[in-house]
Amino acid sequence: MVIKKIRFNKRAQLSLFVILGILVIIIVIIFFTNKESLKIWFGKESPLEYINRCTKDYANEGLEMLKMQGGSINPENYYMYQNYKVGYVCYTSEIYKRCVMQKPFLKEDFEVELKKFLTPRIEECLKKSEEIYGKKGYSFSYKKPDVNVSINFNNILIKSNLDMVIDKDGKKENYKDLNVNIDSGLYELLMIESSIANWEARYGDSESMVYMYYYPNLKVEKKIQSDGTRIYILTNRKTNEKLMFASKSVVFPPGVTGS
Amino acid sequence: MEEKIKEKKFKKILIFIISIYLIVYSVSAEITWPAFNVCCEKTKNGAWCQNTPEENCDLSINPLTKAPYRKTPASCDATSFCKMGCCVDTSEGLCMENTPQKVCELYAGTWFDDNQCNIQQCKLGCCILGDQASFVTLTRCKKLSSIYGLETNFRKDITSESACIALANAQDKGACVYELDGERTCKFTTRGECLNAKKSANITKEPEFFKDYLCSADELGTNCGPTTETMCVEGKDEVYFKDTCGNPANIYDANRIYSKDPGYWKKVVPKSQSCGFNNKDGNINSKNCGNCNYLQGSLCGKGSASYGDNICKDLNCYNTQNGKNYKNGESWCEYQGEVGNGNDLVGSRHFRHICINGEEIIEPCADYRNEVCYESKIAGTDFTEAACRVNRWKDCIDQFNEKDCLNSDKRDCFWLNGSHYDGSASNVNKNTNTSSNPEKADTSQTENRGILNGGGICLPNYPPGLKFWEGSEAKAICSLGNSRQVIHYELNIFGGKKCKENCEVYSIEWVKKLNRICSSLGDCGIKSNLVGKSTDDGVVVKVNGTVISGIMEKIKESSNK
Repeated sequence: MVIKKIRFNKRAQLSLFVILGILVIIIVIIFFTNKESLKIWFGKESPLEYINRCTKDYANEGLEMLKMQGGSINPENYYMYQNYKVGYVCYTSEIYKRCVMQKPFLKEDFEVELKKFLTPRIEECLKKSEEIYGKKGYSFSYKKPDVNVSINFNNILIKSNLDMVIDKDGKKENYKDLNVNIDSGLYELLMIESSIANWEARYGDSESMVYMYYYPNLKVEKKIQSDGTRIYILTNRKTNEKLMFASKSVVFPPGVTGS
Repeated sequence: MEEKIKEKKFKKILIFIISIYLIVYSVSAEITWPAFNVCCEKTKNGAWCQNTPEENCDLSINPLTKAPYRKTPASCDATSFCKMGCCVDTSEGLCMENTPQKVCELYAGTWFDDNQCNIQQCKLGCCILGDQASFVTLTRCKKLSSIYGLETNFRKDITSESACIALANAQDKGACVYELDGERTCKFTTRGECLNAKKSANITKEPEFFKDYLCSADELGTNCGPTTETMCVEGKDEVYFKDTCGNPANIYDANRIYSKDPGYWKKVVPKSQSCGFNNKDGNINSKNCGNCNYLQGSLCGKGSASYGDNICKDLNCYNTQNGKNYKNGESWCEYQGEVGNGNDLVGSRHFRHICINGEEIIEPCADYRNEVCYESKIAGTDFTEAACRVNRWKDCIDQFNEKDCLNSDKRDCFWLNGSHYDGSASNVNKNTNTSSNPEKADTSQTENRGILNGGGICLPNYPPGLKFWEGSEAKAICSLGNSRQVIHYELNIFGGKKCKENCEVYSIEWVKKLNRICSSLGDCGIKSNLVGKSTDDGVVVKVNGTVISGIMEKIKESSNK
């Protein structure tokens, strides 16, 4: 009787270890598997939600680059600062001269650059969604997306015109546009950037305190570099949103004795 | 008589003339700066409309015009494509100054031939936005009004920003009572906004405006009542009570909640008659009073109060990098070592620190001490203000009297007694230089050159930083500290020599004095750098063309002290 009990206990223990082992394997698989696929397979994310999320992720990536590089994805005329190519909004290569405005339409520049960045990536999102959801019985039809970006007072609106039709089991859903909305205070930061650029063009410098006094939620950092370039970092204290740009105006070279 | 003449001649022959040269980078070099002789439509580094050397021009094909980017052997201002002007963004109402025509047209902007934007389209006026105001152009005002959903109210007769702000503050404010879907409700706003409300909302009855009344006033009979909640209002410093409709009431005062003082919820009480108005600390962190004052270092923000969750947040800075406390808005200078009187260290620069919103922000002044930091206290207060401004060192050496030298309206120099400069390396009229040392204006100056003994010399108060490791500029500046001295010796008949004239320059003190002058001229001479290191090659002492060694160590010791 005693022997039987021991045998039973041993069996129970073994089963417990097997179950535990299986659980560990499942956890490891979940850990190493692409979270995106898990969301799709186990979650309730629709194809449209997937495309929206994908677009939003790319938009955030593009915006981050634009914000740190003075509004260009690949700036030509830039200053290298903390591994960022910070584009000049106002620039002169001469000494003692006021800068020449390089980007008078900062908001438009941002919109155009973000559009350029997003267009191929939205197509990529669409292709990916076809791949993933095709396996689940969805079929897609759409035209080449016509992306439109607009930076508004409190948000950034990305509108992709693609006349998309999603079909599953004969059930069709039509989407003329795909709208992605990103909450952002970029508009205000861009307006302040324009104002600083105007100061630089008129006086050869700007006074950061003035802006911080007028806008208590704004932080303006001005970092003068050895060649006279000024790196401006605007930060919204509430949202921590940052915008960085460069300006080079009224430069005094080291040790030039001539006047 | 003849014998006496012979003796004199003999003595003259016996006089050895030993020349001592103290040379500090004695190569006198011509300063060259690249000739900005061509206007490039676009440069190779992507900049638009730059006056630059020809080789920097981008001559590739412009994708828009299908023609190469242009270049003209003239200043950009003289060209048609790169003329500077004002670029107007008609959609945002912004006017961008000093913009090349080409760049403006690239963005489909409207370009005007006035680079400071003194044009009708860019004329500023007062844009009233509810109880706020902005000093902007008419187009910008329209844009802002549309953003905030308000009617455009642009006052072009207001010509200053301060008058504009005053106008916004002087607007009638009060309770705007109206019926929304049959319910009598209220919004605390300006008269103008109230009377325009009908056009913009589903309002069933003409709105009525009650100047200086709060929406919580019982006699108005609205659905808005008092609460013990508080709120921060955009553009205002103070913490306000909030009514049940979400409108701001009077400034938060824990002793005047509705149950204690119903009268406080009827009409607007001015800031000056609210709690803690005379507290010079701006009621920082007060649990009972929300009368914050931004200029005194407090602003409405989240925090624990007796009622509600807003307090007057402290915006001052404590225990800053120099260990001191500063008020919000104060700025001060920080240096990396000794400054002024030519003592700035090699590689050092000046910094401006700012205390704003409780944070210490560091702004470097221009490198190479092209800018210096100045600070002063506002008269009658303990409030410090600092600024980086241009270091005016360039004409110090050409000032030959103390008064001109110390004229702080024109330059940043200091006066050093004991030696003077003969102007030999400057472009100034050399006849004027004797004023610094009239007693030395004799024949000896023809054989002695550069820095001479006696009198006084004008030197940069903040020596400019120099790129002494490249180019010729540093050499040109440092060579102003060169000194060629001739010492006259007399030989006696036994062959011994005795110094007869200009003897004092053959001493370590004289070399030290010259090193002091050199190090004040810029990053010249033997001088410690930011990390306390100094080099040997800043000073060369030669006697009859032979370099004297050993002297450097003594100077280094004294310069490091």
